[in-house]
This record gives sequence, C-alpha cells and structure tokens, in this order.
Amino acid sequence: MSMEYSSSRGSLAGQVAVVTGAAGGIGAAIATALCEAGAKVVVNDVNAQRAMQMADGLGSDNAIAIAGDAGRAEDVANMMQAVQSHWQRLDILVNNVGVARDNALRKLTDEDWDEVLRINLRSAFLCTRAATALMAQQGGGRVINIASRALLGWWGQSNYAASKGGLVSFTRSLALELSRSKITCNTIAPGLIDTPLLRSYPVETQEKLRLAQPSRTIGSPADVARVAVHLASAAARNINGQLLFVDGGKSLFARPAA
Amino acid sequence: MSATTTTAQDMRVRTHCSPAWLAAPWTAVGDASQSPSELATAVNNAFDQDGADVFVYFPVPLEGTAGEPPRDWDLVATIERTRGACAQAVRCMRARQFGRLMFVAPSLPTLAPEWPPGWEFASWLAGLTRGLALELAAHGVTVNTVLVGMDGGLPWSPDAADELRHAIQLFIDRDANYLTGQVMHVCGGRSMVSIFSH
Repeated sequence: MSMEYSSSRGSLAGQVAVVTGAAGGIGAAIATALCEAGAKVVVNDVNAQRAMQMADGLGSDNAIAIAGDAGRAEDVANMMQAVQSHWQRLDILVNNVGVARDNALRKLTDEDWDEVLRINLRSAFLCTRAATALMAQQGGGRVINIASRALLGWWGQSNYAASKGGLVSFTRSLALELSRSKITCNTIAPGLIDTPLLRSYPVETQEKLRLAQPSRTIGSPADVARVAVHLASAAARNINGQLLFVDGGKSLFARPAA
Repeated sequence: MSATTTTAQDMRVRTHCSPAWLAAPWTAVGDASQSPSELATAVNNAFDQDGADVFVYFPVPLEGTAGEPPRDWDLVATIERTRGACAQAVRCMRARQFGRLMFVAPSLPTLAPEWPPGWEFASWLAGLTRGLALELAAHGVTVNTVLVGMDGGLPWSPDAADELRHAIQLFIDRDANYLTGQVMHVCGGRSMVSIFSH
C-alpha cells in the first residue's frame, strides 16, 4: 500500500511562505524543503548577499530574497508589503531567525540580553502580527516558530533560553487566539543539529556533544525541515499549539556533554 | 488475525487498532474484543514471524466492573495490556537496531475533569513514551505518541482519519530518526487547556 506523505512534491503548490533567517543552516533547509513541496518562498535574512544567493539557488520562479532585520518593525512592514506586491498572498510563516550571546548572568550585558530577545522573540511578534493579518483575510494560514531545546535552560544561556521559552508561550497563546481564523501556530525545538556553528567547534567538542545524545547521533537541518513541512501542510490543520522537539531524545534527559 | 502492509518507504508496518476508521488503511492485527492474553499472543507471534519495522498501537480502554467507558476504565488492565502488547515489538526492534513504536490514543479524556482515568492514562502513556524513547534511542528505535481529539470514539471531523495517518507518518518515516519521545495532540488546539499538552 502506498501512503502519500504530506511533504511530497507539490503538496504546498500555490502557497507562499516567508522564512526568516533563511540564508543558512536550519532556515535554508526549511526554505528548500518548502520549495520542494511546491511553495513559493520568501528568503529573508539580514545578510542581503547570502539571501540572494539562497533565493537564486531555489530558482527565480520559486523564491525571492528580501533582506532585512526581522526584529525591526520597519523592515518587517517592508517585507510584508513586498510579499503582497510580488505574490499577493501569504500562507506560511516560519519564524526561524535567531542569535545567541551566551554568558553567565553576572557577565551578561544589557545589550546582549536586549539583542537576543529582540531578534529571537520580538521578530516573531512583529512578523506574526503582520503575517496573520494577511492570512486571516485569506481564510487561514500556518505559523511555525523555531525555538530550541535550550528553552529548557542551560548554563550561560539565560537570555537565549528565555527568548526560546517565550516563543513557546507566544505560540500557545496565538494557537488559542487565531484558531477561529483557521491559523495554526506550532513550535519546533531543534536539539543538536549539524550546522556551520556546530562544525566551527573543535572536533573533540563535537564528539562529546554527540555522545551526550541519547541517540548518539547529531541531527541534520533536514530533520527539522521535514517537520516544518508537515506542520505547513493541509494535513496539519488540526495540529495547533504543539511543541515538538527534534533532538534525538535529548530533551528527555539533559545529560551534560562533558 | 495478522497482516503486514508496506509504506511508501517500503517499511513493514504492523498495527493494532480498534477503530475501523484508523485501522482500515493499514490492516489491523487485533481488536478490542480480544482478551489481553489473546491479544498479546497475536501481536507477539506476528512480530516473531515478520519482524515489523513499525508498530502502531492504539490502547483501547478496558471497561471496569460496571458503567460505561471511559468513566469506568479498568486502568490497571489497560496499562498492563498496552505494556504487554509492545514488549515483544520493543525486543525485536532493539535486536535489529531499528524500529518505530507509535502509540495513538484519544486526547479528549484529558480535558474532562470528570474522567480521572483519562488523566491517569494520558500521563502514564506520556511517561511510557518518553521513558522508552530514552531507553531505545541508542538502538535506532523511536517512540512517539499521537493523542487525537475524538467524540464518542469517533474523530471530530470526516478528514480526521486522513490527518491522523499523516501525523503518524511524520513519526514513523524512515527519515524520522531524530524525532523521538514526543507526545503530539491532533485536536485543533482543544488540548491547550490541559497540562497534558505540555
């Protein structure tokens, strides 16, 4: 028996998606997967050159690059206006952009706290408020927030954990608030993922992190992307307010890496 | 009563599903009318013979001495049957270093304070899912649960069965190695008022 899987090619045909922080890592994988599933994708990134490279790679018929800081209201307004003028609709928003400024609390500066909260959490608020206004007019949509397993808390990550935990509560509130507009809102919390950031660590550190995983494996950006595509699909219309860890079971048992 | 089916990824799937709307596409290997021991035998034999890659189990509440389910579940018997039904599957999957164990259960009782067995069962199932996931992660076996919104034993909408199949497919896909220990509600957000949705 053959079962059609929701991420199959063409399942998101005719839909338009915005992915923030889409020029690399997990964001790029999500943008690619959405595109492969048939969606038109807006590649948003603060780095204009990388955003354009990413969009070019997806094909000019399938993607456009809109550079901008998703944590700035003006940039978000410009992006949504560009989406409307280019494709006249918006069906899927993936709030993926994020930064980390790790430090122990006593060394954590006001600037590091504010910057992490601005980019990781305020950006989701700004983009979601603007995007859901369009989605409600169209009769529905999908909001997918990319948090992190770090939302459970970790040494030196109070600002980052607070921002990602805030995303989860933000998601749950919106799930209740927007369900009447047929807009679903869910969170994906990736764990240890094979990204350029991870590869920048010494090999010994990478190995320690891998061995601290219950699965003894490191995930790929595609692992996160396939969940995002499912949550974006029509088959997920009744999945709302959920938090899914994509972390090989690490969230079940926070064994230290060292 | 046993049969195997094949997914798009050529994985051998075995289900124990009582509700026909869920079981029909995948072919059930048991039903709720069987006693716990008969069911365990059927499931265990099936695994010995075929070594399925995926086991989708729908724990059906067993009635207590009186009253209507789920208000009068025999919680202990239901839990014991669930544990017994998946034990052999876990052993086979662990030996083969690959597998997908999937529980599917109603989420509606978790919303109703007058149904304490539902609370207890949902909590136990979440604990079982997470505990097994942790234990089996290093063996290539993932364990997840989908809790589905239902009214009177039926899904809440005509499309629900299809949506549920897609949700299950998300977890049992051969590429879903990194997705384990999760409890996902498929109920349109109705679970949001319950602590079990965390």
